[in-house]
Amino acid sequence: MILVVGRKRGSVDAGSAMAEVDEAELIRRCKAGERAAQDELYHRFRRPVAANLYRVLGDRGELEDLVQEVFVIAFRGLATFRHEARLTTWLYRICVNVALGRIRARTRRPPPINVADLEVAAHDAALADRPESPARSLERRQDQERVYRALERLPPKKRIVLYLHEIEGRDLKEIAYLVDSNAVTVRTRLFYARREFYRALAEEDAVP
Amino acid sequence: MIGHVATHRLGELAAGRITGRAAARIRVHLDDCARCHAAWERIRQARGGFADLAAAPAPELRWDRIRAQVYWSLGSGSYPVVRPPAARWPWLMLPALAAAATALVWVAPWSSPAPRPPAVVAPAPPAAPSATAVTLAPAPVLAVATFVEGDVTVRAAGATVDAVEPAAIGATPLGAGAQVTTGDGRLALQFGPASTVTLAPRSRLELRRFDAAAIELIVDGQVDLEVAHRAPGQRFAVIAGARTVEVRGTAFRVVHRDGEVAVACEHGRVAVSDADATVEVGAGQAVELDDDERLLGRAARPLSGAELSALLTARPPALAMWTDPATVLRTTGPLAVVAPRASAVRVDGVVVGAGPVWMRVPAGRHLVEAERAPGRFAPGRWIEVGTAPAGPLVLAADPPAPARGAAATKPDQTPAAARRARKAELTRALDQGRVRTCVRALAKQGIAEGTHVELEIGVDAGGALRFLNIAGTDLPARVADCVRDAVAATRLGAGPAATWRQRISF
Repeated sequence: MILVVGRKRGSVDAGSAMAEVDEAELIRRCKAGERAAQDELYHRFRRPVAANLYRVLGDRGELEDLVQEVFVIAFRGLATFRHEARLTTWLYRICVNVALGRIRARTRRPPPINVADLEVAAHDAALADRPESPARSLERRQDQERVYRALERLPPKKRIVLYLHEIEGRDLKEIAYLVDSNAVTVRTRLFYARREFYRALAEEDAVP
Repeated sequence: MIGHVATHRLGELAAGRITGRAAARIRVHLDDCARCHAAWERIRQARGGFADLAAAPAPELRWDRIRAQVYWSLGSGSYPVVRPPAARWPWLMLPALAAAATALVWVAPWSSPAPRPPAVVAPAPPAAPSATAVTLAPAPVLAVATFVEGDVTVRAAGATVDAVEPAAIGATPLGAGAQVTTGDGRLALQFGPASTVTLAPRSRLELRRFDAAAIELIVDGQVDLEVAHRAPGQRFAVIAGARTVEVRGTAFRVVHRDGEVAVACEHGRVAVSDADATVEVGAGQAVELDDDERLLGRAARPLSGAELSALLTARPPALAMWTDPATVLRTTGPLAVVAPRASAVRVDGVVVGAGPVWMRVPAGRHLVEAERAPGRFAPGRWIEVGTAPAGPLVLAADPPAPARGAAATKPDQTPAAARRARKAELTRALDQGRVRTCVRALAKQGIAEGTHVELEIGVDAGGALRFLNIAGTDLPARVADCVRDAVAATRLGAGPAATWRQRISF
């Protein structure tokens, strides 16, 4: 199975074969205890890992701790990594599980997305470069807030499945690998998650 | 269609998963049913943002800190150790190992060459200077004092300045040869963007070399450094007794006190060396040595969370906009704060030190607060900092409570008199032209006459606004906000603290 973290399916480019060779070499060097390789792994994947956690959770709170947790798990588990999936996919799987744990831990907390977080996100260079009117920008943020509020109302397992399918566009097999389940269970969860999610979206006021 | 469309079906439609006649039937229903149409609009609008969500970039984090924490968590010093999985049946390996060992014993005497002494490479002799070559002296680097707290003495260019005149310390850039000594105070020097040296209490620092080729600092006591960028090929070294700490680009602390040297690295990497060995200290690590202890064989240890926190808070904030010393001196201003001794002082929400404090800040308005009780700050004062020196801002301690039974001291001015004075002052100082601009559009339509905005205003003794609320108005919110902003922009002078309501009528 070939998956690329942070990209939609099917966007694997011509350089992916080279990337796979490169990754295999990096893993081999890491397992051999090569210091530069371990640092390279961290530097290469730290931003994708942080971005994935940020998107799944929708807030920056404790993001540093979660990124740390992902890398600790990854370094501990690297010795048993058996190349069943790309390294990026394997890391994403860890991200999903860490995020799931985080969602479970905060089920009693209020919705995480707030204007301050979105303001910070708006200062990211990639967003700042877009020619966008302030009104449109505000509208977009409000839409994002509504989506995360609706996601917050779902149980953790359904939330993850729905996020991966509806927002990231991943298929059932990929999701099954990421959440360590099977495709039938994922499909069932997705069915009920969609009902609850779209009901929550439809019942929300247009302007929060 | 009978009944309403289920919301998840609307989601499927928005995702394009329902097409053809089924989609057409739903669309016909949406045209007729206001409730379903509203739900459809909300779902469609929210789905429009999915692509943005999926592509949201990673926020900037403290990557080096995370890396350090990861490695500590793995308990392996500066780098993680990836251990191979344990063999399932290790006893099966024993015969093979025994055979290999036997073979090695037989083969070794004949096959292995005699050990050769390590090759010694003589250092190349320095090239003789050519008679015709023109040797350019490296450009000097200058540092600016950006923070002075308590008792500090600076000796530079033959003159000695102490903390009695902190502005004089900050007014002149310091170069090679300058010496700084702290009593119970601290001093921070900045010499580049995010490059700072902070000297802790009871310490001494000498800038032995300070140019584009090399920076050499001699420290006796404790110094915290952050080195963001260096000139190409520039050597940066801190000399602490017999040890030299070489910088690779980093934030770290060197303590040389009572015959001991301690180096702690917050992020980046430093190399501690003496005559015969070098120890690399990575992010989140430290090494401690006695002056007469050999460095050979020593390894860095991980820092505890408390030690790392102490490192993070040791440096006062650096000036963000650094160009060169002359520009910095021209575009920033001195802020002197006199606060009760040992009371923390917060500038723009960041604790910078304990009073009295002198620091260099960007010109403009800054919020200054002094600690009233541990962890509790008195209401702040806004102060306008220009590029010219100004008098110190005095943040006095709370007056002591009157003794029981003693007659309360009569204030100089009654609350009513204070309100009247402040009201009159605001009326005089308010920019009436700006206020009229707020209602110009309404005035053109002839509907501004007789309208009003009533504001609830609080100012402190320094003239800074404590609060400003719209208590009542018959104008649109946008216009009322505009009037409030005009009032907020009005500068009031020092005087009695007061709270009052003011009605602005048109």
